[in-house]
Amino acid sequence: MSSETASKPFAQSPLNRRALTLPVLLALLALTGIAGLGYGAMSIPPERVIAVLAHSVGLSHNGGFSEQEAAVILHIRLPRLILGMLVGAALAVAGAAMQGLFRNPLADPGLIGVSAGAALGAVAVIVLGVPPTLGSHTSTLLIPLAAFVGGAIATVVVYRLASLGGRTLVATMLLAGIAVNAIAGAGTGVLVYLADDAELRSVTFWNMGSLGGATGSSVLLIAPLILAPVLLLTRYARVLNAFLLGESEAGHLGVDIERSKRRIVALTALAVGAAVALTGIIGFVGLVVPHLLRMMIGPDHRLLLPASALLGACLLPAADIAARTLVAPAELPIGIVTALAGGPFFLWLLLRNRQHGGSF
Amino acid sequence: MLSAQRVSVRTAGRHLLREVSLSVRPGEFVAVLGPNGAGKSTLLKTLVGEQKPTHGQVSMHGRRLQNWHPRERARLRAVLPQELTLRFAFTALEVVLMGRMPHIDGVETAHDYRIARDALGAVDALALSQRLFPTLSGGERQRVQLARVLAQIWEPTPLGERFLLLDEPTAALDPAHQHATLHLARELTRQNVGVLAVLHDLNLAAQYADRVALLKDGAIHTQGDVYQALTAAAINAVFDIHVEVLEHPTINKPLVIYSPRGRQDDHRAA
Repeated sequence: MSSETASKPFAQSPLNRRALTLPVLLALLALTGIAGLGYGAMSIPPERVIAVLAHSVGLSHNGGFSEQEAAVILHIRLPRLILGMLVGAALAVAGAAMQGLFRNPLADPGLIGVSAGAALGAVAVIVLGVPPTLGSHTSTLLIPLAAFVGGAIATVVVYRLASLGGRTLVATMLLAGIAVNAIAGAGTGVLVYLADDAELRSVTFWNMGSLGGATGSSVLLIAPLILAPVLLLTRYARVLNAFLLGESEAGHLGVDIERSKRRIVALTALAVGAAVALTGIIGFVGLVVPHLLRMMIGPDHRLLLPASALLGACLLPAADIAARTLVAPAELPIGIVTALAGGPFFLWLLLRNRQHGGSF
Repeated sequence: MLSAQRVSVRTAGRHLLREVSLSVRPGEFVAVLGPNGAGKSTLLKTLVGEQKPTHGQVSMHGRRLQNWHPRERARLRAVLPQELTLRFAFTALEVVLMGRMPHIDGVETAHDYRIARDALGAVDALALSQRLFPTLSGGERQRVQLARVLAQIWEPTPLGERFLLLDEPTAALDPAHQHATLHLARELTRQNVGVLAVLHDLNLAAQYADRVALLKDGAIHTQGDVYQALTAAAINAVFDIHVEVLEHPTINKPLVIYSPRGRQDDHRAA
């Protein structure tokens, strides 16, 4: 076979599909944004959503919308939408990175202990309360901070345990993650046992996740903490590809293995820690999004990581629309929506995968 | 030259290697043989810098291995692992393109694609290029991996002569592909590539290698050209089997045959 005929299939469907992936996802993201800003207790049609946005950035000066609509969109829904996009992107990219690092398509960002550690930190503040000297109003700030610190500590513990003896063993990291998750879970359990009814309710809702805490200032504060690690993680795409061949092989291909592992874990913990700190635990996004994309565009992280960021940024606001509208005027915790949609979908993936011979 | 000087590796109180000195010169094919657990893989890992020696040192072109930048090191030496599990659905061509990683920063160019396809052609696997790696048979995977490491050192580099290290490259292959693989390695030595292969088949080593090192209990028992190393006495001492070493009928190489008579003598003695 000549090299021309061999190259032909590559130039056809898979490549086109790959070239179209990011534009399609960007369009989907724009649609999600307009829908997220329009849906809710007060329904606002797309053209007026666009008019409000155009006016707010100075692109147009004619109205076509009411003051109230502008206020709802810009002050209530926009922070929530952006938080949803940021958190969705963070969880999905973190999931893709962990699945690559562990060479296991079932890995989840929670594996390195960051979510369980964050939960322990948050629950500790909810149950034990804020020191009286700080005043009660600081709890809105202290809960995310404690969650972030808890997640960071848990990740460092997992990483140190896996690095005893100089080399970081990924398999040990997986097991240490399970152990640290269990210990943090037990700590959370003790605190829950001590909690009174009101605290119990807060803890429960934190563990089911919510974008309700979004305000303009909290989103501005968290945005760089999420965007920086997400963008930096995409720079490790080729390293993650090499890791899929195996750690030794990545080393033979010139990857500085220890440094890469350390940075990928640190960036993942930062992204997930920042995301979880503001929203609580939101499951399945990190597991399902990279998985779904891998089936459509293949496992190359150079496309998989940015595509995961975009699809995650679409899915979480979409889940939030469902959370806000399904039982309106009440609101479902978003973690319930992602688990309800993600769980069955994931089972379907598993069964489908068995029929297709077990490759990812 | 890639050389280990008096290298010892000790883990958990056990000597995996003791005082091993072995070198591969550019343009030379060195075969490492020995029974299971003799330390062949440990030696290969030490030579490529994956295993740090407890004593002794390994150097490439006179520079200690740890003083090379990992990426530069990867531009002039490639390693074929014994087996590789890749469950993610890369195509064979994508797997081979990964071999170009030490040479490029962003996306592969047409030049890298050409090298990848040439490498696939060299291992008789061009027809597999669009197949998904996890769906390939064991032998096909092995050949695609070989193409990947060939693509890694396909062209001469200004950094120095290149080295190719193969850990049991023929294990999963049928006889035709076993010979094709070693023939290919032999061809590379003509481009002044230094090749080291861990082999199990004494006759493949006899046919293709310039030099043979017999490893036993972590130490080199015999080292030399094929006639010096592959003697009946050395093979008996290292592998605990009785063989006759004859002259190959058509090529000027030794031919090792298993000798049942020796075995019967053993039984009688017992």
